Amino acid sequence: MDMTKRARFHIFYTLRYLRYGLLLCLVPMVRALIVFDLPALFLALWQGLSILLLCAAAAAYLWWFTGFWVADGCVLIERGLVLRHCSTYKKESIAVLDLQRPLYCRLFGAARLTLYFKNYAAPKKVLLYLPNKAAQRVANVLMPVREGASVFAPTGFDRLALTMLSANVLTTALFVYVGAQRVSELLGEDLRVLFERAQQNFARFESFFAQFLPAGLAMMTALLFGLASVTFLHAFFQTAGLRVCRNGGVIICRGGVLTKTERRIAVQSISACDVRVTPAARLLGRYPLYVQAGSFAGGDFPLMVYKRSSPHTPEALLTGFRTPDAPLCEPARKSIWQYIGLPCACLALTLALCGVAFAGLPAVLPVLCVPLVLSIGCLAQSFEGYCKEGVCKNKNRTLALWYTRFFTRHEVCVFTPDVSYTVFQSPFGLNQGYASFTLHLPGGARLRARGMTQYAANHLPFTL
Amino acid sequence: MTIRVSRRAAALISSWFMLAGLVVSVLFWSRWFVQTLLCVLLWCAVCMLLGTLYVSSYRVFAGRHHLSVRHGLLFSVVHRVPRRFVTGYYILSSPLQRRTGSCVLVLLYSGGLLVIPGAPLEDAEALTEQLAENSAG
Repeated sequence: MDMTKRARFHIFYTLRYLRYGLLLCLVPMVRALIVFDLPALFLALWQGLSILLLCAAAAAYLWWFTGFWVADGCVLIERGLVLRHCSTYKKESIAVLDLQRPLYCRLFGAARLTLYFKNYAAPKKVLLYLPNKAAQRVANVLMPVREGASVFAPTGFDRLALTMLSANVLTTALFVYVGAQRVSELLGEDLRVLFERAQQNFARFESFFAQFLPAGLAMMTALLFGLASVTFLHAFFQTAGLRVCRNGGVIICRGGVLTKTERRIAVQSISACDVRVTPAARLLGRYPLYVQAGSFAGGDFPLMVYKRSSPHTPEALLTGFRTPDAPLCEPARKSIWQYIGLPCACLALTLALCGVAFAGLPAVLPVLCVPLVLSIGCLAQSFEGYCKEGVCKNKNRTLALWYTRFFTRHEVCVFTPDVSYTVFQSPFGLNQGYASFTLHLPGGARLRARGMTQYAANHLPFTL
Repeated sequence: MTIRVSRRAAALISSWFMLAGLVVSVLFWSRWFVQTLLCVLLWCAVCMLLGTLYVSSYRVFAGRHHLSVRHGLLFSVVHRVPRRFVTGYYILSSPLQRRTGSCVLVLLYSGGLLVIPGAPLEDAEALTEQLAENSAG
């Protein structure tokens, strides 16, 4: 296939237009289902079918007039029916190229190519559905790679740690909830039976936990266990066979079973790397490392996981990586309430609830232990932030910035000199000489460290 | 080079917010005339007093290597951007602003954008010329 000639996207490109049609169809159907009006439902079905057909015809027409080609190291995309416009994306402006082949795409020979750009400009990323071979060729033209020795190919305990650290219970919970809502809107009555069966199974699962836990706590444990299982399974498939290598100024990351992922990151566009010290990471003794490059904010799984006892491991992948040369802050000059104010309020509220429950509703007390433990954890994490959060310039011209959010400590190493910053001072901060420091990275990412001394914040050099 | 925002230019910017409030209030005039009138008067007073004071607190210091933008009344905010990474700029001015010699200066850099409302037109043009010369040199 000659890439210099104009070619069409994969037919999957039409999905973006069809989803609007699907929305238009679903609204009358849901309304008919709510009032349980069967003739109206059939009418809505026919109406929906005609809307879908119309949308499919319009999408196919648009698809026919949309094309792409590669010339002089640029991708050119031509869109539009009446007003035609041609977008040109230069090879040099691309920071990350993400080639994904989910199962549904592989069945139809398609691939999903996402281009992330270096600077803060519209668009931040471009998503293309291309035929598989064309996607591979476009990727090779824009970011050519040669295979090298693997820097990170986890096995054994590292593999387990990677799976556990890639899992995100909150995202999965939200995804499962939204997914269930949408499917229930689509299938209606059939799914209700399915949900009832799932509820029955969940009740059995809950009764198993209820043998050795109080009733409310058993339900929460069962729910958490179910969610964690789904999350770990998703993370396991996503990171299966993960292999990371670096060659020719590009970091290549390949892996996945159901969704095959190939991520190419231009090393010169990496603005920072973020080591996320989560409670799970502390328990496992392994830290996950995410990379920020332009508008790419780290993705859904870490680039590598390394042992806490060997903090210099990431240097094999990112040569400039460095742990802070000096302490990042002076806790004595900070305001402790800036850190622990909110967690203390949460803890006080939970304790008050526990007190009320102890007096009036002792049965609820075990359930309230969960927010109590979470509040104490959050308070401990905030205190760690008070002791460790700050900024420091390293001798190798990188910038170390540590900050804490909820239960995670982020240890960021900034490589790029292309940064700007904001110093924010409240009247209390002005009086005591501390300020909040926000670093702006290329692509729009912002990192905030609280309680930095005013002098250090105002005199941080740009020439990193 | 230091750019300061004059009170007159700041009042002009505040009047945009005042106008926006008036437009929104059109929805409520017919039902709650007295209450809406009171709210509108309060909004206009807040815009003219606090808004003008806030906008006139903007200062731009153009150093050799970086630009600093300072603003805020109670809460002080300072933005610092290296000059070599300023990638573009806009100068926006309404007819009234052109009469008063002010504008809205928007500076683009790789991590976002900086807006300086009510900057003097002459100073804004001088600064953008300097930035253009820097990037050319």
